[in-house]
Amino acid sequence: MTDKVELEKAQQRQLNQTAYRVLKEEIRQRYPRGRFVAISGGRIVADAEDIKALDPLLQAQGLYPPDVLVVQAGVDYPDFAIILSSLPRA
Amino acid sequence: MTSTSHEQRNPYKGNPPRPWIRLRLRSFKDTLSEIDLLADTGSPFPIIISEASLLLLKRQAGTDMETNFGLLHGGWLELDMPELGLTQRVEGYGSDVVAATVRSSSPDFAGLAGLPLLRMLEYGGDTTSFWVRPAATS
Repeated sequence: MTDKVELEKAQQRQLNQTAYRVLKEEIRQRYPRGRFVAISGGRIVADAEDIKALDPLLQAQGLYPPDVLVVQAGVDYPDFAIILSSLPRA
Repeated sequence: MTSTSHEQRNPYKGNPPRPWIRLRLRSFKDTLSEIDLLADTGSPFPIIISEASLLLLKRQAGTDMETNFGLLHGGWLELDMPELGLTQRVEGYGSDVVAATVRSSSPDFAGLAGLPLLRMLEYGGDTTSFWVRPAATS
């Protein structure tokens, strides 16, 4: 993968992560808890009860599923998590 | 590793000896990969692997997460282990810091299998090995 492609992917990734933070409350209100919602290009592009069912919906729109952010409505992701691993830091 | 049709039993591996589980994952390109993960009930994430491995194996992107090991990049991973009752997608994470840390115990380890994944199974251990088997259905 070229540096330019990598940079574009990283930018798209960050766009979708930011969009999720903005859309989180809307997603919670619009969709049943647990429903899988796909975000691409900073906007919601599909939703489904089963996460595997999203793949054909995304591909039909010309999207590459591994680059599409998928979240679950109503799931509260913490801002920070602690890994209580017994492993020392490398 | 030894397996009956319903149990995976693995002798502890590494220095110091660590419990571990072998998982089979199916990528978006429909290839199967087997990876050995250190079993860690102290990890609140189902799976943590290297960034490069996540890029190869993820089916969809997931939410990123800040942790005491730095930023983890999210990605949905598809389990392909019907013998253990694991065929769903789980939210995995990529972290080169975590991957390097687990490799310090054994170079065979590709990452961590945390409590959310272990809770999908029954698991335990004795003086020689760690085992997992399908969750009991009630």
